[in-house]
Amino acid sequence: MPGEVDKTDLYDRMENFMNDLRKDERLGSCEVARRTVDLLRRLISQTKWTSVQDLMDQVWEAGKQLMGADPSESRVGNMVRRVLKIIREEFVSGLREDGGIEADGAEAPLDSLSVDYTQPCPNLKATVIESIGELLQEIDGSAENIAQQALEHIHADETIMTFGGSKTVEAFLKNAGRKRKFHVICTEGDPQFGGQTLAKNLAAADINVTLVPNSHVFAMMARVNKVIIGTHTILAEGGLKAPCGIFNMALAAKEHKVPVFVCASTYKLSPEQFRSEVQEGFQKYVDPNVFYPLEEFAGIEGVEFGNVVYEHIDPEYIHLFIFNTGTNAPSYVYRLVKELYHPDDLDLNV
Amino acid sequence: MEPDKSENEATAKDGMPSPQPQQAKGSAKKPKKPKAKPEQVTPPADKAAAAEGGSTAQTPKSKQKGDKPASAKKQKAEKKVEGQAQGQAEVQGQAKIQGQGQGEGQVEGEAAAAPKKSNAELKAERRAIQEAQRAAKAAQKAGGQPGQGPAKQEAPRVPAKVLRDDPNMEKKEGKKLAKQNVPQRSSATRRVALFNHLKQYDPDLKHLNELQVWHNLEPGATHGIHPAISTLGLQYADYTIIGSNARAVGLLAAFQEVIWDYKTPADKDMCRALETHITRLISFLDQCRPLSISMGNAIKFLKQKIINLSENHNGLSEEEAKQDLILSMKKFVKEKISKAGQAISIYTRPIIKRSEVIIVYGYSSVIYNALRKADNKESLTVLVVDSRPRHEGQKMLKALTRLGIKCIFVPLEQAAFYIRNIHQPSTCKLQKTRLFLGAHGVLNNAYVMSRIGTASLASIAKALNIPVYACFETYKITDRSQTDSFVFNELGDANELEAIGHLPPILTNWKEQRTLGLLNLMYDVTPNSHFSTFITEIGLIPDTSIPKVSPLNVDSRPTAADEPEVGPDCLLLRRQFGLQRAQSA
Amino acid sequence: MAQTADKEEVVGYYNSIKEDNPDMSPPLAALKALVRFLESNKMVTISEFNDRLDRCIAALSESESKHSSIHAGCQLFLRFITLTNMQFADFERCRQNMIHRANHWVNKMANARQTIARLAEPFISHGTIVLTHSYSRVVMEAFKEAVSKGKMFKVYVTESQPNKSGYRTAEELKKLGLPVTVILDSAVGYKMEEIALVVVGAEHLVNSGGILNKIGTFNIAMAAKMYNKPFYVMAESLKYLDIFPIEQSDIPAAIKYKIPDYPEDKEGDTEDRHPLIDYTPPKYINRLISDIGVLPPGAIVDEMLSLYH
Repeated sequence: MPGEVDKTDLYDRMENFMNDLRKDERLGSCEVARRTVDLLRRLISQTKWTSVQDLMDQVWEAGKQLMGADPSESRVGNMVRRVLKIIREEFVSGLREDGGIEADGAEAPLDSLSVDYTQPCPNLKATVIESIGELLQEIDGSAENIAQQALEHIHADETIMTFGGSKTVEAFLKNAGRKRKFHVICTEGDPQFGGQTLAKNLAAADINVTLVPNSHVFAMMARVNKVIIGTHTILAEGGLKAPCGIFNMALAAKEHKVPVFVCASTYKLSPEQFRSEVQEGFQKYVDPNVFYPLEEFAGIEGVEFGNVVYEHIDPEYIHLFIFNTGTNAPSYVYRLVKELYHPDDLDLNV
Repeated sequence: MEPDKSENEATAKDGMPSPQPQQAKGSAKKPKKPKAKPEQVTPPADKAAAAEGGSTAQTPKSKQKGDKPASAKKQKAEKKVEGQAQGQAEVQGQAKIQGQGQGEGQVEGEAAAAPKKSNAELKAERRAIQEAQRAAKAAQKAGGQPGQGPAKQEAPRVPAKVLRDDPNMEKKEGKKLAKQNVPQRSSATRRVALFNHLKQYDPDLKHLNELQVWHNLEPGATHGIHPAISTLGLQYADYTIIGSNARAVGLLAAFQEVIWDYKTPADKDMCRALETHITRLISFLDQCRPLSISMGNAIKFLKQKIINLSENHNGLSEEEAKQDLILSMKKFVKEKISKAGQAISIYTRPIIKRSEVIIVYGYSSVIYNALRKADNKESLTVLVVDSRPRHEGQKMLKALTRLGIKCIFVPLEQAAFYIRNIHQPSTCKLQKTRLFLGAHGVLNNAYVMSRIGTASLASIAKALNIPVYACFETYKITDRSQTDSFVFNELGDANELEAIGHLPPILTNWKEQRTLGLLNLMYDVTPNSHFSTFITEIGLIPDTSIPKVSPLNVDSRPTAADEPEVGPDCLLLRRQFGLQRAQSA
Repeated sequence: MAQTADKEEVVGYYNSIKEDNPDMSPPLAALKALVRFLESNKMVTISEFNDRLDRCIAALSESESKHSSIHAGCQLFLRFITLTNMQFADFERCRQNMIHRANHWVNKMANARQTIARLAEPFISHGTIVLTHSYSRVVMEAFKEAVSKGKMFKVYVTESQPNKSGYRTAEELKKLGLPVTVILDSAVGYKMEEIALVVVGAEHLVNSGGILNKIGTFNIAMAAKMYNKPFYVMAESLKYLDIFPIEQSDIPAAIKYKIPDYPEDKEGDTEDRHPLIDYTPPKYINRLISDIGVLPPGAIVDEMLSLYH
């Protein structure tokens, strides 16, 4: 039957995605976000659901499965919650039109209402699919939107320091490089040496680049005008979850009073609160072999090798976030998080 | 010479017939008839040049053009061509320009009087004239500047090592090295603009292929390098010997051999000759790898000893003098390096005893010794932080594990995470963590120059309220100051960044990309505010005391008798060393 | 008169609620009294509603003048319940709507301490060393929640002169089985290097994003900042006060010399009296844990301002 074929196709896609997440490769944020949203859209259009609550539960379940593949991959969870928020919003606005609930003051926060999601709402599927389509468009266009703001922030003859590799930052700097001449100091960055790739690509775009190892950060900061970095995730209080080594750079920037800019798309915003770097779902532990050849240490016992991938930066180290929707201070992040996510969706384990 | 001459004649023809109006200086020159000297050219200004230079063919024609510096050069060129001793050429040119008035008068007289002289006599005359001109110059200088005060204070000269962006500097260095018969190492082909003021060596050591090793103990040999030094140089250049202390100790050991084998040439003063000899060996070592601060101070010490020797050398035979020097060097190593290291370990012991976690960076012999002497090795956890591309932390890890210390090994990027999250035993007590850092050298303003990455780690520690201790011997203190890592540093081999562990290299053809530069600094400078205290062999000192504790102020008298082993009593230590805090200047 | 009848009625409700729930925070009790009043009285016009409620709030504030938060809480209440469509022809319907909202909101507020405790518990890790100040019910709830999750941690609490409320905290924490030590107020700087986390309650949350709390809070905040230790404030959003202090002298005198359970020193000039409340600016506060969520200090203000304007 066609429904079942679709179901298995969906199941296959999910399996593929989860396998990709489980592998140690660092998938690009855009790709992760896109694939998650795409999967959920298929789910919504293909499965049967009796009420909105039922739909949300199904989405919830699928989301939990996907997140289970790599708990530290918060980008999947972000997108699941975005979709859930879309569903809720479309439902409530549908009800409003029908007069099903009091037309409250526009300021009334959604959470203050006890909405009954078991009420029927026709046309929900269509509107939700449409909104998700918009979300996908937003994801696809976000890098471009960020890059377009480059010239507002980079003037001529500046020295800019970056950390590791980031497609967002690469596009950002290339865009500025078309019109202005400036100098970039790339640090090698994460264990995949994304900084080397970034340096290579920027140099190929005719931008003056100097590549330095991560240990040079403090020394070089004396000549840097701005630090521009990407990130893995932005946490609810405005802090970052980013590859290890970024804290060194942020600290050096603070000491030298160099402003730190973070280029990130809004799908990197996470409603999760930060409590510690070893909390559940934050850290990713990998095989230490990734960092250095362990054959050097054959025969040495009892040594613990560093094997973490992410670390946390407080919002006080960051001056500005450059989102695809505009620039904001770190203190504004919690507002954006409130807009994009519903508090009831926070804890997907409940 | 002939072509030159013809050229000059041609120019003379092209130019003004009479030399007089062309004279830039406008000194009174009487036109003279050309003398029938075989290679001499006619115009009278010749005579001045002739008498000064003693050579017959001159280039006053170029002088006619009124171009003094060019004439001096051309003159020089001509003289070379003639094959006479050219050492005086520049001096003569200058002397000519400056002392023209006086010189010419003399010269003309002389030239008129005696057409032909023997070379020896000419030499003597030349010398006499030079002396006269020097005296005249000195008198002019002194007399001409009465209003400028008794002594014009000259600012300390900027060392050549930070003036590499001056285009003449490389040439000057080349000349100097050529004089010393030391092969010059070529500069890197791809230099990073920010560091144009510093040396950037080509990693290729092909300049050493031209090296002649000094085999025979020929006195006064100015070619070739003592084998101990050439070996040492190679070991520096390929990073076999690394570390501030190791390099200084290696240097002094090699120089002990050099001095042992040294024989003063017959007519020379031992001290001066030895000093020149050592200077050229040092130039060689500098070409292998830029000298470290510790090496620089050791050399200063040695040179000081040599100078001191010249004063009481009369009482000692050459052999005894050499023995004395060797003993001094041994004593320097023993007191300033090894015993100082032991003293530092004594001061660090109680601090380490009160700690649960010690953080170290890379490999430092001082820190390793301090940990070796710790009492509480079983209860310690050491966080060894490592960085690319040199990975010196691996050496420290192996050394510490051999001591049985529990270690955690992390790259610098993960250091912050591990410091914040070192597993705390659930006893509701705070784990005391401390950071111990070694130093390459310590600057006068108490900024510490150390392996690159140290400043980052010190910043992290400061942000997390972890005390930071800088441990170093006082001989590493220099009188230079700097506040950032740019104005002076050592540039390592940029190609080392290409290799990225297991992964396939990304930057294989980076040199072809015009806009891409790779930078591999060796050191960075950590501000004094990051340190809680500085631990030296004379105790824990605050940053304000650093400039007062200069190694060369402290008197280390060479004695024949060995000093007794260092005891645990710190006062005993101070007395044994004969160390006292240097008086403030 | 109808006016005094209203006052007596609402104060009566308040007292009985307090009797039944001695542990309830006074502002909350006041809100519940107001809700009960609203439920029990029919009103015809909006202006009648406004007048009567204003009278009630005034009455409640006077009766419990030591709790300055009552007035603030009641104002919030008014703002919140009227933030709805008042365009119904029948005021009765409005009133029902408001009652509905009010109950919903007051229940949320009643659970505020539990919400906060739940949000705060993950920040208190097992084996950590915590410093707290004076006695705060919210902070106690958070500690209880952490202990119920099986955590064990060391607590330092300041004596909290002049009323030594720190000893009360120590007593209750000992009953929970936690290792507690009372330290001098002046020993905070000395102890700060050992401490991993500082948590305090708040009397009021103000517009700058800062807090007004028992005197000594500011000292602790400064020491924590020097040592880069996290400083968390736990307070219900009900404690919001619509003032913007910039310096210590901006604290209203009406608040400064009053704290619950402590005799107000009415004799003597204000100059000679010891202030019992100090102001801690937002830059010393890392997080504000309230029923709205765990937020940077300025965030709560945004929330509250959106209610007011």
